[in-house]
Amino acid sequence: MLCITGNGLKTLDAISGSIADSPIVSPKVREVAALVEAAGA
Amino acid sequence: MYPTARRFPSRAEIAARAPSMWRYREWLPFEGTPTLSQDTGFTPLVDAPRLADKLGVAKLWIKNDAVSHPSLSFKDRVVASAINAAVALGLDTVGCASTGNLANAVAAQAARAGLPAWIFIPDNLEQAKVLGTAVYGPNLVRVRGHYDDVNRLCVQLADRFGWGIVNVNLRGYYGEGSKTMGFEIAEQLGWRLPTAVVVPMAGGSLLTKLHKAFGELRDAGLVSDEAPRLYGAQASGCSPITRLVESGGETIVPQVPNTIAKSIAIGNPADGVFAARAMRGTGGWSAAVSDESIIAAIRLLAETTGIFTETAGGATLAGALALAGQGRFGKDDD
Repeated sequence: MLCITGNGLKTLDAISGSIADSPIVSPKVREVAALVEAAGA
Repeated sequence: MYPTARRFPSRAEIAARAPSMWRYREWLPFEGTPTLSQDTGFTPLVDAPRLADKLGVAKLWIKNDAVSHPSLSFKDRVVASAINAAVALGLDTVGCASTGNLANAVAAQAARAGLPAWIFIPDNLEQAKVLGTAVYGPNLVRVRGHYDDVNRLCVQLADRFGWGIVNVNLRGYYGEGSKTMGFEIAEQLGWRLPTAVVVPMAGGSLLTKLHKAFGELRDAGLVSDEAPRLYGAQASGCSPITRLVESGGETIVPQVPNTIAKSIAIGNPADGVFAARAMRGTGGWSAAVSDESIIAAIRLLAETTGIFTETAGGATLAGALALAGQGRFGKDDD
């Protein structure tokens, strides 16, 4: 049993530096396709 | 505090009550029906099979007070208990010393009850916790120093102004609210106790109250299992209770906290000795973990269970992983 005592939204500063920014794309299928291919590689 | 001739409810009577912490009211320091915060408690118990595999145990459950109502931490339980006591005692103002979660809980529940609140926090708390307190409109005061400085100040303020400071002069009522997490765990497991429980430790109160709750259920004949082994988790930058467990001593050596896990950054824990005794007495232990492992554990918990916890919860999972690495858990653990 793990007792989880509080919500992560309260300590965003602790993890914000460890999570990479997500990519920004134009609304084009080909740009997403490139991301999908890279994710599968 | 409790009448000696209490009648305890049966499993069926409890099951018929509303899904809140008050379904166990006979074990709480309150007579009759509470008037405030009646919908706090009864948070989800989540099965975590992928984490169970990582820890090498048969079954792993997460007691998820990250979604506690109203302010998203287990402190809602202790405040619900204390605020009803405050009103019953005729106190017209409540307050607290807090590392963040308690501030949120007192502010939220005082606002709902229409009570003025004075809330004191260290001046370096996470912005989300500061805003998550201020939004309810209390008198919020930031104090230069660590939590222990804030707590010392609040002891003096309780005497000076006669406020109901929930974790100072209402502490006896406040602390008992934590037991409801233990009662819920037992009921949600089908009226049995887990074999081992890992608990984050700030002041040490939660761990001691879980131990008390499991014992009270056994005394009332509602469960028959052995008491669970209790394990504590702290940040290595503030681990006075862990050090006490490791040394086998009986006296806390205070520390100056230095950790990102501010909600468990209490350098002189009021219940540290009692928590250490409970861990040793049940065959448990304690682990202190690095800030880096806390962050990694927050992400691991989210990626394997869908639960997003704060740094204290990260310490809990990081502590469990460390304890598993020491061989503290086995394939029979559930």
